[in-house]
Amino acid sequence: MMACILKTYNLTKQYKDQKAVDDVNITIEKGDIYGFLGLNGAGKTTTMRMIMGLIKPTNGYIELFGEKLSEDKKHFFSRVGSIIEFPGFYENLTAVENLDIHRKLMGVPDKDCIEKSLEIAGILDAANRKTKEFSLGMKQRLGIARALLHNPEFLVLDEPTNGLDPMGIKEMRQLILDLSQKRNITVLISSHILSEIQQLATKVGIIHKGKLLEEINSETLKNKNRHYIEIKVNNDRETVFILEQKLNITDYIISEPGVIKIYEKLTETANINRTLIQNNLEVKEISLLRDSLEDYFIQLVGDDIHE
Amino acid sequence: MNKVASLSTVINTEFLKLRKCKVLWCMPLCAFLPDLLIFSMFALNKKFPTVIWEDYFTDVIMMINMLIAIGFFSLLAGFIFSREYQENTINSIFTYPIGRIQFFIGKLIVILILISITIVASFILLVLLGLTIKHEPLTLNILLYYTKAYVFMIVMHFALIPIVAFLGIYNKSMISPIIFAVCAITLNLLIMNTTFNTVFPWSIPTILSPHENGRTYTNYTLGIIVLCTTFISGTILSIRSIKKDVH
Repeated sequence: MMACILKTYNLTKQYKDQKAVDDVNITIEKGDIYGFLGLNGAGKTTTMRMIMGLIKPTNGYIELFGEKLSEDKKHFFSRVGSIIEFPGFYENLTAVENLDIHRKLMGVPDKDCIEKSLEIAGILDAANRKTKEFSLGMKQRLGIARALLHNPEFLVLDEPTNGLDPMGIKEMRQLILDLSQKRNITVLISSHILSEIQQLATKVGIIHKGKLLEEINSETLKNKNRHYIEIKVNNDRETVFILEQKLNITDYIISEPGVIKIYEKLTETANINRTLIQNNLEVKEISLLRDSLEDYFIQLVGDDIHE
Repeated sequence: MNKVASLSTVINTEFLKLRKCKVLWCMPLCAFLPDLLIFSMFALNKKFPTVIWEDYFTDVIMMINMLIAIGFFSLLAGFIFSREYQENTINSIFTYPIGRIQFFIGKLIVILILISITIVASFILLVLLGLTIKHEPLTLNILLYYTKAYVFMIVMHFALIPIVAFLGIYNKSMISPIIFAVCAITLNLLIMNTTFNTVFPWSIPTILSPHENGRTYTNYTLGIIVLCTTFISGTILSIRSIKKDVH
C-alpha cells in the first residue's frame, strides 16, 4: 500500500455564512501528482492555505505524513515546499540572498543547494540580480527554486504557471514531471486551466463552490479525453456481438441505449460501418468524436459555471 | 533531515532581510541629527561660549525623545513588521517549521538592537563632539548619570514598539504606523505640559528623562506602569493579530 502523504478529513472553512471550503476530503499518496481543479474562487487556494497552516480550518483536520497537523507540529513543513499564490521576495535582496534566508530558516546546512535549485528552476544567470528587477515569470521560477531548495518530499503549488509565457509553462510542466518521476516528489498543484492539469496529474480533484465534486485517477482521466467512434444503432446487443466477433473490437462502451463508443481502430470507420450494414444492422449515425475534460468538467459543475 | 531553526537564526535572518534597506537611513539620522544640531548651536552661537554638559545633553535628549525617536523608531518598526505582508513574503515565512510567535519575538529583538545601536551611537558622538569644543570638565559622575539616562531611553522607546508593531501587522501596511507616529508626536507636544503627561505613553520618555523646564514633581511610578501596560497590551494585540489567518 502506498504511503499517504496528505489526507484531509471534512476540511471546512466558513466565513460568516459562506463556506469557502465545504467538507473536503482529499487523499494524496506518495508519488502522486494531484491536480486540484476548479474555477477562480472555487476554494483551491483556501484549501492549500489550510494545508500549509496559513489558515485555520473551521472544521475538520489535516493529516500530513500520517500525523495530525497542529500549530505545535510545524516541523513537518521542513519536508514540504510551497508556492501559495504569487511568491513574494525581499525586493532589496538578490535571488541568492533571498534563498539564503530560506535555507537558514529551513535549517539546511549545505550552501550548495542554492545554486542547484536556481539551476533546476532555470534562473541561475539571474542569481545575483535584485528580485525587484525580476519579471513575474522569473519570480515564479525563483518561487520554484525556493520551494525545492530544502529537498522537500511534498510540493504544494498554487497556480505555478501564473505569469509564465508559453515556453515557461511548457518548461514548468516538464520540471514538475521530472520532479515527480526522477526524485519521487509528491505534488499538489492547483489550476483553473484544465489542459494544464490534464497533462500533469495522476489524480484530479474537482472543486466547485468549496465542495470537492469528484476525485478521479489518471486512467479515468485519460478515458475522459479519448478519441472515439460513436455509432448510433437500432440494436446494441447484436452490434456488440458483431464488433467483438467479426472486427475484434473489445475497447468499447455502451454509453446509452443505442449509442456505442469505440475507442480502438479509429481509422476503420468505413470498415465498421460496412460490416454492421452487411450484418443487417441499421446504422443511424457514425462519427469520430473526442471526449474532453472540459465537457466533463462543465457537466459536473453544471449551470453554476458563470455564477 | 533539516534542523529546526532557532531564535538566533530568526534574528540572524531578520538582519539579512534589512541589508540595503533605505529605511535604515533613519538610524544615522536619528542618531546624529540632534547631536549635530545641538553641537552646531554650542560651537557657533556666541550665547553658548562653553559646553555646559547638563544643558548640552539635556537639549539633545529632549530633541530625541520628543520628536526624532518616536517618528523614526515607529517607521522602522512599521517597516519591519508590515513588509512581510506588503512584499507578500508572509506566505512563505509562516510555512517554515518555526512558530509565528518566534518570528514576532525575533523581530522585536532586532528592533531593540537597532534602537540600542542608534541611541548608544548618538551618545558616543555627542560626547566626542562636545570634547572638541570649549567645555567644562566632563566628570565621571556626569558621564554615568547620562549613560543611565540613555540606557533608560532605550528601554522606554522599546516599550512603545509593540503598539506600532500591532498596527503594522493588523493593517498589513506601514502607512498606519506612520500616521500613528505623526499623531503621537503632535499629541506629545500638546500633552507634555499638562498633568496628563505621565498617562500618555509617548510623553513618558521625555518626562522620565532629563528635560528642560523641569517639573518639581514627576510621577515615576505611574509613568513606568503606563509604559509597562503599553508594552504588554501592544504585545498581546500583536500576537493575536499575527496568529490570525493569512489571506
